[in-house]
Amino acid sequence: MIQFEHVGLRYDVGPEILTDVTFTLEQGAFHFLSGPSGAGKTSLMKLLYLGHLPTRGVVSMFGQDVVTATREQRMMIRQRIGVVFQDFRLLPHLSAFDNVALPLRIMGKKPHEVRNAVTEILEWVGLAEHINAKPSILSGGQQQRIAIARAVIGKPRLLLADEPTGNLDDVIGYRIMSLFEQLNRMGTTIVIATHNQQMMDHFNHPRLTLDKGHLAVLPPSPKARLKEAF
Amino acid sequence: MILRPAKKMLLNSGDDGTRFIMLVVVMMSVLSTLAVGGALTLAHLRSTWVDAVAGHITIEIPASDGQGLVRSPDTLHEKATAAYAALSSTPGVTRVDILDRRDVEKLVSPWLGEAVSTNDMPLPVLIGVTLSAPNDEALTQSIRSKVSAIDPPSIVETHQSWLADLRRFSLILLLAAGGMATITIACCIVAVAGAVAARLSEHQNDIDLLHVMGATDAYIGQEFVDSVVRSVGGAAVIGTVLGLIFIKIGAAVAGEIQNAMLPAMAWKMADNLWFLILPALVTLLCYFAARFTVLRSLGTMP
Ligand SMILES: Nc1ncnc2c1ncn2[C@@H]1O[C@H](COP(=O)(O)OP(=O)(O)O)[C@@H](O)[C@H]1O
Ligand SMILES: [Mg+2]
Repeated sequence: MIQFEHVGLRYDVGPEILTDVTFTLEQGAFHFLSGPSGAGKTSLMKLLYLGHLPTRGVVSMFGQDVVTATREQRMMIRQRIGVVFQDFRLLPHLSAFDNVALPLRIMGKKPHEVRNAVTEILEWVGLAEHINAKPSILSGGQQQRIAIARAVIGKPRLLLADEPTGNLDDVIGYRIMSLFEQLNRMGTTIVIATHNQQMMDHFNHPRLTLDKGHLAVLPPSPKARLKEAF
Repeated sequence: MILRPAKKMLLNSGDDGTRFIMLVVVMMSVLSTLAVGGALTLAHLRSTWVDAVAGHITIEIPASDGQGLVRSPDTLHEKATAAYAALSSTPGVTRVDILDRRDVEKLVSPWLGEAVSTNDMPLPVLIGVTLSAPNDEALTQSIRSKVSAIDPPSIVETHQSWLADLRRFSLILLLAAGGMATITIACCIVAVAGAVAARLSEHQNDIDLLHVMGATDAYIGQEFVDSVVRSVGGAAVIGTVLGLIFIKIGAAVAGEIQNAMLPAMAWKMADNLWFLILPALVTLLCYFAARFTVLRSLGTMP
């Protein structure tokens, strides 16, 4: 479903941030993306959500080469991807409701569909009573849950989350992870960038690891496999 | 397909930048209204002047006969009377006036001074002819031949060269007024494009976000274009109304001043349409300028 072949990325004339990245994600896969800070996790995410086009190599999303795709085709690919940004990127002047509603409105959903879906998902992430709140008066954890709600509301085929549990305490962090696993069981492909070793030890998913722009595909952490076995 | 955002997404209500566009558009609309008002008045005056002059012919029976010999007042009088009779009976001529020696003396005295005696001075006889229709070539021709049969050295002046000067002069003024209106509208467009570009870069992060969510350029740009059209449209109407008020005041003041050099602003009823067209045109052009700027800017995203 998603295929990277010898992909390279550089910003403007800078050095190559990603070098020779090759991997495949099948429909319904769940992967961690790990690596030290500055390794290029966010940059790889950008390639996955078509925020940037590769400088070289082939990126194929849902069977379509993103470089040769038309702008309209790229828009359609993007609509099938949900992203939780590392810095959330909520629109500050919009309420929680309107922030979460954005993807549905972009898809052209009817107002009553939008209202029902948004109300439901805000309840699900435990923010029902903050439906009209602006992001600025919410805590970091609450903002992050809005960002997550916004990423999943359009039922994306691919969900990308950049350090989604970074601002969450353990309990909520694990609850969010269970939410992602639930989505994954319903068929959504998931990639989660994290450097939280505990998380990777707890959930049994293969790891894409980045180091200085080079990618290696590793099996799930041995501890997680052990946990799963018993 | 142009998707219309269900509600505001990017722009805060009372967003800055709008006020700047509005101010520029109001001022420019005032200027172009004045330019158009001036041009309409000029066109109106021009046709009034042309109508007044075009139906007139002046015939000069010169004081000397072609060979440099001064003719006697009696000869001139006799020629003038003959010409008067011939012209009066010509169909198409509504009026004939002879300016004889005394009338002409009156005409030239301001240049010569009262003290100078014109008794010994050879003065021509001038005959003013009013035609029922202006620019009647055949009639003019027949008048020429009649006059030249009566008195060959006579000169038939149809004011064509003066009319040509008037036309040229007023055309230059009209072009200048049109150029001024064009430049002010161009200023509006440049200001709008600049302000839109500034607002786009101000909201760049949010635009990037909508872009990676899969929103089309038209969908993202619609909100910016809508907001520009609203503020420009309002400002153009305000500016045009202000301009018309200035014209009214100016006309009233000019009417007060004796011997006003400025003619009072005046134009035909139908010409008022221009003051509906003007703000509509400004708004339409600014809409395209905003749309072009937005789509070109968004088009640079992958
Ligand atoms: N927009 C950008 N322009 C230039 N360099 C960038 C940009 N974004 C990231 N980088 C650089 O790319 C490298 C990888 O960054 P990033 O992908 O954010 O890593 P990570 O998410 O793993 O911490 C860093 O050296 C960073 O400075
Ligand atoms: Mg990062």
